[in-house]
Amino acid sequence: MRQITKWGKALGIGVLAGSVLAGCAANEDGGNAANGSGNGTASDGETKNVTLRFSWWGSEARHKAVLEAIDLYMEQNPNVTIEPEYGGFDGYYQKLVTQLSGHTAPDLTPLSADWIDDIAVKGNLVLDLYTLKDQINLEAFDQSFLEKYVVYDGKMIGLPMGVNGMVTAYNKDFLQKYGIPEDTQWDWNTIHDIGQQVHQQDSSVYLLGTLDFRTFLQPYMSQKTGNQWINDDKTIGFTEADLTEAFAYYKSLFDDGVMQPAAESSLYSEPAKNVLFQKGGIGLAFSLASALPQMKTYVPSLDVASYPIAADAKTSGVLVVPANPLAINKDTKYPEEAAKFASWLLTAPESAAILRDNFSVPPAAANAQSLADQNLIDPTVAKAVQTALQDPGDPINGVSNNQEIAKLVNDYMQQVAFGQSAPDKAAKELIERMKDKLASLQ
Amino acid sequence: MSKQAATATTMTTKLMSSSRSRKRSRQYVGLLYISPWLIGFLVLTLFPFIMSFYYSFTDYSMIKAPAFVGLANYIDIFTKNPDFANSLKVTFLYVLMAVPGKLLFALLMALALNIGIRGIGVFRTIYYIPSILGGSIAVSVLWRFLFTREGLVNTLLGYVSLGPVDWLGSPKLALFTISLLPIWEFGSSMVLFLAGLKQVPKELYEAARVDGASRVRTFFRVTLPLLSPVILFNLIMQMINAFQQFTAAFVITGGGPVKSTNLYGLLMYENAFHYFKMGYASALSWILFIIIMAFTFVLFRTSDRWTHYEDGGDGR
Repeated sequence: MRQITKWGKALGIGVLAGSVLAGCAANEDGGNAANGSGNGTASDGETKNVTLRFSWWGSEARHKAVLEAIDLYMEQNPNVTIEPEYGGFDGYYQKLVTQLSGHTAPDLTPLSADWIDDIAVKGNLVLDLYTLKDQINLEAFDQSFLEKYVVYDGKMIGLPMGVNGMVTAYNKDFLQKYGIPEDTQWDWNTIHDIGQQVHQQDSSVYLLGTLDFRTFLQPYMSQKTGNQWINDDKTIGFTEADLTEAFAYYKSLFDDGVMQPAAESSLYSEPAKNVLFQKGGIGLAFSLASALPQMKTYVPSLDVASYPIAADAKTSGVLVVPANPLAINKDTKYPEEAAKFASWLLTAPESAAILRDNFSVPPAAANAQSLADQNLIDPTVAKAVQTALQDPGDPINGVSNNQEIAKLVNDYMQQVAFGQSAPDKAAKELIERMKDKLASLQ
Repeated sequence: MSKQAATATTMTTKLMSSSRSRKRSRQYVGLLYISPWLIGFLVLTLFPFIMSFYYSFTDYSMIKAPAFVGLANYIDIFTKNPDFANSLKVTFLYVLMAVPGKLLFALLMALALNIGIRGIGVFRTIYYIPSILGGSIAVSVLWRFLFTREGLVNTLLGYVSLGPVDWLGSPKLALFTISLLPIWEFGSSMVLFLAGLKQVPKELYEAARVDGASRVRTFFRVTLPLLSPVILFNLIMQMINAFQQFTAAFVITGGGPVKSTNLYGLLMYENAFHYFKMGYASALSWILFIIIMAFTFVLFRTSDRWTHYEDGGDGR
């Protein structure tokens, strides 16, 4: 009896341990199933059941819209099951790279512009959509836009889910209160001079909140030199003197009260999160069109104008990007079904009517026009994209999107902002460190 | 006679064999009982530990297979990366502020709660709550809200015409503000101190009182020496935790402003999960491991000079 009890306990523990392992195994199976599962074979016939995993990030409104679109697609294609995986942006990249590394990534995922180089170009982990052109309605897109922004080395790495561009977003009430004409043609001199006057009138407000590499230094230098931040041959696209001048200008914005002091604003990575902006104490912000709806929740009177362009600019430097190109995982078992779904999601009028401007303005011109006619997209977002597209800068090359370099630049911008480094010293050190970094990228 | 002897030998052998078999089967059952932990330890601790050592000599981005680079990661860390020196400096400062602060506060609270009044258990539970919440994202978010320029702390200061202070926006104050968080989470150290205080023999206090020792003198001559083993334990555990701190800095300041709160844990995370330099991050983690090991070793070696054991230390 005692023996039976002992072995009974042992069996119990064994079952427990087994279930732990089985749990792990089940997860692994689930992971493998991720790359498209179902009764179909690799050469998915039309009647075969196919399961595709589609992940994305964004707001609740975006999730709701995409889920609705997925339901409609599955209704129209009963043999296809789309498994949605969605959440916030924080940690999405880390999760995606881990999944790609373990071959458990979803079949379809959007890519942020600054991941393209690592995942799609150097990593070669997504399909070239030109190989699936029979399944994709490429005619619905502006061909030059596709070639300019989602084709790398002749390979189409994804379909743009929207069109996004950088603009000057302004608080109308703020401009009116401080006597600034709405039709001001913003350039770096007007920014400085008007900003200084505003702060002299009221020391508790500022024309600008925070600026960083993407919203200021990269386009500023592009206007100044006409070059990429890093040239394609991995040389730096500007001189130390150019960078010193840019840092000196940036410093003058703090010294002259144009920008909110760094100690007050450094905690806020986005204008919409800055409490002073929310309270109406900041007049302008340079922002992508896709971020405007969130800003409008705090500043309903928000409107947009062109991004500041210097009178002697060699290029506009205005950032225009495809909002999150939708890529297909190279490991997918059903590339054709994945391509069909991606094409439908981004070009079908019924899908556009559901998604609206949740990924900025729709990439298919006909859909964008139709939604605008029906007032189904935010007029400020539509105006922003239209404004940015009037004079777009050159698309940013892969190496200039390198995240380590971007972080390095932001670190030095903070040193200047806090007065810890003089412009010339910061420029010298930053260039040296970028050269070191570029050498390791060779 | 020889037949009897042979039978006896056979029986003895059988008995021994049966005994060995029972012993072995008991070992198997024991192993089976601890197998969930054992598997967890082997798969989730030992294997990554060994692999991270190997990866520290590789260039590994997770997207491509690891490529052996010898000591290149370590050489780069020590000779080309100013962020390494900065993060070490910031982490040491953090450890110097957070660990003594936490131990001191925990000891004071333990002394305050070591009194025999009605309902003291409720107070002990209440003071332990921050420790249960400790290290969580939610507490860090709360800390951020409390100490932002528009937060509760500045609002309260405003009532007495002080501030506002950039607790988290100033490079001079941000690390101090973050190091207040673990001090607030003093509960676990406090419980250990309370247990230690309960162990101090009452007759020693009585003897001290009879000898006319003041309360302060009694504390320094009786309480503190007898608490010293608990202090050593708390000191080592809290030092290890502080060296590995990540959540608070990640959530509250993201390492800023101007890298003033860029703790070593953040530097490792940034290299591993922002830049996907897993080999580089592994090398950083091994350097931290050695630093923590060295400090722990020094503390143990020097502890004989300042810890007091009632049994003279033989019971250690």
